[in-house]
Amino acid sequence: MRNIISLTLLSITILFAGISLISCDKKDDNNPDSIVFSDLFAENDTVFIGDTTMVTAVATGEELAYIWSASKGDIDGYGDKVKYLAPPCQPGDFTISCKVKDKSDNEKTKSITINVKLP
Amino acid sequence: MRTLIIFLCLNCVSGNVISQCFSSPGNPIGGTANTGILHKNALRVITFYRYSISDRYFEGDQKVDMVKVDKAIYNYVGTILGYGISKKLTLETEFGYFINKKQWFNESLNLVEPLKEGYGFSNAVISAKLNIYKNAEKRFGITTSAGAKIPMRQHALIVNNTELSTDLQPSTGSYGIVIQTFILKERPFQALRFFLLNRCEFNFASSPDFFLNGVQQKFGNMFYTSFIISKHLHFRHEWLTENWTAILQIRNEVRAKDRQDGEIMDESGNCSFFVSPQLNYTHREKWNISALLDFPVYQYLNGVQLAGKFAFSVSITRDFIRKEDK
Repeated sequence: MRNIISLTLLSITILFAGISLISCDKKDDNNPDSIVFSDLFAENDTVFIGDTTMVTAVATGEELAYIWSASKGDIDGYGDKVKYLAPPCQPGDFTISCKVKDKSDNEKTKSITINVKLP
Repeated sequence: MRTLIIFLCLNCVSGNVISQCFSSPGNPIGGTANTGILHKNALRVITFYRYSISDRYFEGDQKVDMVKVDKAIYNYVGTILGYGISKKLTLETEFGYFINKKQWFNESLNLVEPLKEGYGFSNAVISAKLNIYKNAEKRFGITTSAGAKIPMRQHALIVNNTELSTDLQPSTGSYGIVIQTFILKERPFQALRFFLLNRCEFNFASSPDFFLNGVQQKFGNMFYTSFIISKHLHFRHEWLTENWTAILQIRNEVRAKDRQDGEIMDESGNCSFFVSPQLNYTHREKWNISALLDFPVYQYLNGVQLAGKFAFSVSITRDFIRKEDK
């Protein structure tokens, strides 16, 4: 019985430790000059609820990856141009962010605000 | 006393989620609930699987047409471990994993990816349960529990270089406090048990580092009240029914509105009522196998939200008790 309990507690400890390790981020050595992130803009800064608009990131660097995020609503697509879907019923000012990373894991982030309003 | 495993079918999830079955404040935390405390040195292991589907939008308590997500599902596996520290105190931990959380977007939106999918570890809960009152003669007892909710992710899930919406995130990314009370009344001659379960979850805001845009998301606090009746089946053919228990749960879930950087999100929060029939089979008083269906009978959702349709859960429980403690 003690062995079962010890084994169970050990398993839990290993599980949590493993999760922590997986979740840990690498420490980045940013070299800001390797990426030039010149602009982030939306086709329309103001949209109605449920509408969509294209958002474009303008950046230069080596083997760039674009990572997108929206505080509310959804992002669809890949690369330097994506579609933003405004929430179907929630008006407000929502933040769209784009993080640009190069092959050396250097990164830069820009954000814009899109105003979602009721019709 | 027969071990009885009650499913607390918590439809909510955020990060892990549930509008009120899908948008998540995290996990379907514990598909089951230990309704009391364990023997000293006893170990209980509960493993469960849960499937939930949402395919309609509600505004208030009325169904509305909405062109966005046609269907949303999740598949979740979870584990609850309980250990009896003393005859009055039990330690418990719950954790789980979303095999997937999927949303199918309407074709008319012309999306590059009409199917979006999240997955991963949800929040964990570690708690202590204390029996504060027990009257063996009247077969009545009260147990309380307090614990912490711990996010299993430091950063929001990113799939195909896009940070998924909160509805698809497996974890809320925020800490919380969970408080529960269990009141039990037995009528052994009628083979009946009555439970009243209350569970309160208080959520803190997520770290500014969790979401890429630095937004701090605070999911609404949640309050669950469940009234449960269980009946040990005694029919003519006892050999067929003696190990079976039928359970009916009526549950109310209230969730406050979410906040984003302190601003209230009006399209969040709800008050819902569920009915959950459950069947439990006990084998050699060590194994319990349960199956449960969860139906919302009334839902009031603030604003317009994706509403639950039904959910299904199965669980297996194993108790490990030393011979000298029986």
